[in-house]
Amino acid sequence: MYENPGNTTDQEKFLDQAIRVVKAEAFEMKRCLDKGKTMDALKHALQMLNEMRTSELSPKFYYRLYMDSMHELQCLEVNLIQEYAQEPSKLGNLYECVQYASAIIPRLYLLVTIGGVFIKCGLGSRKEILKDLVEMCRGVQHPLRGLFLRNYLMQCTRSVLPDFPETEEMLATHNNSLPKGAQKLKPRDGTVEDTIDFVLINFAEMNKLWVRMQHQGPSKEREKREKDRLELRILVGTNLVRLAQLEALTEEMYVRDVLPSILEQIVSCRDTISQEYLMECVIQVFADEFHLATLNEFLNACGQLQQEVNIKILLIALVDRLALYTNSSIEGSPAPARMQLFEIFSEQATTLIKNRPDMPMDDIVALHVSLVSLAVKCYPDRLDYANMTFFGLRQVIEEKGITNIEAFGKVGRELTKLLNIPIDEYRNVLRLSELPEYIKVMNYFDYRGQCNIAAYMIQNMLEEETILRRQDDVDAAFSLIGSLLKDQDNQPENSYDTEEFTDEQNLVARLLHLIRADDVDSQFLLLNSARKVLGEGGPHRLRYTLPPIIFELYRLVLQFADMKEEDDKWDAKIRKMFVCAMGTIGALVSTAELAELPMKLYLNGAITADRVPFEDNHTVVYEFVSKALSILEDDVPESRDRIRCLQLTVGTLLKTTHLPGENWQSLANQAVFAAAKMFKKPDQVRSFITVASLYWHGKTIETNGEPLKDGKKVVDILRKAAKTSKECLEPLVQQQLFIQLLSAYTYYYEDNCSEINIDHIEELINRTKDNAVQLDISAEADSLEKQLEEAIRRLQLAKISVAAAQVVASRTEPDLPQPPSENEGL
Amino acid sequence: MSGTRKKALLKVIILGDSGVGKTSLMNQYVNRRFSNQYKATIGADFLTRDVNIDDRTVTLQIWDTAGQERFQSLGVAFYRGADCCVLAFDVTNAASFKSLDSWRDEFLIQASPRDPDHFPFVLLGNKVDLESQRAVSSKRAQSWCQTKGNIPYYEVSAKEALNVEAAFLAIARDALARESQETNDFPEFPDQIRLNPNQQNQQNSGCNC
Repeated sequence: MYENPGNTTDQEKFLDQAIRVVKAEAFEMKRCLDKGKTMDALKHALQMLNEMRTSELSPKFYYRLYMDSMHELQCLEVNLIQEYAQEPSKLGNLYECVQYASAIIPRLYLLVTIGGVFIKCGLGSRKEILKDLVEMCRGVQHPLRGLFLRNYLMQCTRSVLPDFPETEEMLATHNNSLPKGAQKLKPRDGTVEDTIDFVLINFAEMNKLWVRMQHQGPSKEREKREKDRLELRILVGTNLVRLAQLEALTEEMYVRDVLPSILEQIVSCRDTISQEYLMECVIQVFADEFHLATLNEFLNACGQLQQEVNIKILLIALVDRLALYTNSSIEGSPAPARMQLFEIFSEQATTLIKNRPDMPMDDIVALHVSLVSLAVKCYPDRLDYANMTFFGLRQVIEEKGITNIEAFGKVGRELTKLLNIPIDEYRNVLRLSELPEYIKVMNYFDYRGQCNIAAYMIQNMLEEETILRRQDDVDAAFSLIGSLLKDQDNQPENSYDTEEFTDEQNLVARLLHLIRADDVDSQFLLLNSARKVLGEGGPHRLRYTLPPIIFELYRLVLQFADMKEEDDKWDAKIRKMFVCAMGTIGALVSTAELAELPMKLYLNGAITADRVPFEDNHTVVYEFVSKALSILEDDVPESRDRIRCLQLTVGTLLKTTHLPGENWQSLANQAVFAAAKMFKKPDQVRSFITVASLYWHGKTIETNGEPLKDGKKVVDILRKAAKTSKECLEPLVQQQLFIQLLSAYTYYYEDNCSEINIDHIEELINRTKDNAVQLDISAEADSLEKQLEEAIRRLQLAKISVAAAQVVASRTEPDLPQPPSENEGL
Repeated sequence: MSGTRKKALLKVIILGDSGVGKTSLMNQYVNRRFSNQYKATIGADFLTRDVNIDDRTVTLQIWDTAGQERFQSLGVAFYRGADCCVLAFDVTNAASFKSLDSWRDEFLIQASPRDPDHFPFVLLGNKVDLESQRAVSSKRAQSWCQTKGNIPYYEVSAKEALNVEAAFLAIARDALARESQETNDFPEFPDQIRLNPNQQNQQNSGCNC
């Protein structure tokens, strides 16, 4: 431990000083090398390495010092090799000489360097030198300095470690394959087994130093020491990298010697930080094939780790890695172990959870996330694997007596991940119904959690366009998203008022449009059965879920419209569809207590029925419009809404062509009646103007597609409007009404309504003009003034055109603009 | 640092996202070997190879680094003293190409070479053997290089040893040319302050290790 932890600035200062010395000595060292004074160069190197003895630096700062020193040592090595390659015998002197250095740190760094030069120059027994070096390093027991020294040993010897069993023939092949300029190998002693021993010893020693570090120094600095230890971890892990890099390391050696030895070291050190890190290193650095061959051994070792070790992370890392591997190797021949991979993991996970009663629930779920991911990604056909995993999790949840898992809690977040995997991977939510355990696990969620998953499913179905073709599909989908379809026991009271509720119900509405059977009859049955389920949703859901059913019914009617020849029950079936639609709309009125929405749906139905010439279709049109009118009458209290609803009704009536005159009259009368019953006078006037158009443009079955043009009735109604507007006491409003009336008169006059008396219009103009004079000066009055001018100008034009038309009476009438009201269809 | 006798040691750092093939590139260049197995690298490690450039033998010290940040717990002190920085990406992985900017910036900040605008970088687009899965066109890579001061770009395949040799030779040449310009990126000449090394170390606590 560095005695003076200090702060970063202090550390910078210490480091600066040390690096300055390193540079100065390195400079001298290189000058001596240039001059050929090797001994002097070594002395400077020792001086330089003295800095590595410091206790002042934290790991990161010490690492920087180490890097700079190592760079200089590399220069030294390159020079020594060049110098002594020709006469390696002289190297012995150096080795001897360096032994006399008094401080152990500089001495060992130099010995390692020169040892490397020995081997590279082909001097001495490689095996012996390596063994010698790794043993000598035991002399440094200070954790930080020892770890770095041994790291240097690993780095320095990397390229000379015995790796393949060297026969002369192999050597020659190897040398020939090398690029030009690369160092050729000379026959040397040692085998890969020696290397394995060498690295494993170094690994064990480094791990001991590293573990021991936590016990050095006062306990109050424990946290800081742990941070230091975490920073130093890569030095220990590098040993494992070195083993993994060995070309000659066979799977057999790994299974027999290497892994057991590593695991023994890891398990026996009984240190959480070390175990967690090194196990992950093993997963990351060795090849997938090796892992597959040692799954059981590795997972067994996992079971023996300290309780505090986060096993979840390890298992997940391993599963994820192997899932990726087995997945990518599918194209090639599948690894034999692949078959058992899932079973092994599944079994190990179960044992692990049993042996660790304190394992937090979120970790348990996270483990299952990996398992399900493995099952779903690598064994897409083995639904039983995925189902088994859900079953296993359900058992754990049950045993622990957990219910109502919070959607956004720790466990809930993992559970969400878990449940989303098959949705994302199958890309067909309906397949989930083949995992009976899935929904059972989902039911452990609280209300919000269940809704979230259900909404996620619908989104997926919409994206993937998962069509609900058969009754089974609809049933499956509905049972998966049950939490959205009707009230739940665990549903909070205010849930209807939330944005989520609205969003989710809109999703359900969109889902309904995915119901698409192969033929009309089945589609009708599917819609009917869906409606039955949705009907239980209560008033808050019906308003979202029933309209799509009605629209689907209308769509079905239109789809069926030109299939009359193919079905002898065609008329009856269409009628049945309308009956069904009407009943469904009725539920919106009676259960959901809505007004305008069902009214619009009735009107839409009327137009649809009018377009399809089935037997007595006019009775349906009549029924639908009259239902709309009675809603208007009874259930729309707000004036503004009433006006809009009346306009919609008038628009619809204008669009129908198949009503017998008698029926039509009765509906039109109702509309006039509704206009007269408007609460405010101005509303009455405007509504009169609107309904007047019915008698001009309306069509019945008898008119054969021609407009009624009942001028008398139009004038009647406009007169009523005029009379009512005169009763209006607010001058500005009255003026507005007059101008609107004037426009209406002009419109019909221009359209050759002979019943309109031009004197009558003149009188209205005079009244309006008089009125205008009396208005107080205001912006509104100004604007009305202009409107009046415009209305009069238009009347003049109309007079001219009517006169002209009378002259050329034989001419056919040109197309006319629409009446000035806002009547429009739906 | 004159003296043609002295053998040059050039430090080359390979940076890039995890899985782009940094280790494979180094292994292919130094050992002429390739393995399809993925093994993560931890920390930083180097291999050396001698190359002859214009009758001069140069030792290339090639640093292979961990692409995953969590495997660099001690920081990136190994950037220091680099003579050239090789940026590597996987042509079949667009994300690895997008990361290049941050790798380059990170290097310039951490290594703080004296003349960052002219520090030699080389870009390697690896895995061109997987042409059918290519996600980054050669043109796109080249135009990135142009915006960074005409960095040389090589399309390579560590698996098929395609262009690897040529790329590293060019890297060595670049780094060497730079060294001979005597504009050292990292000043090597020490300040004229002579410290008495004994003064510091004798004060340390008893342990002589």
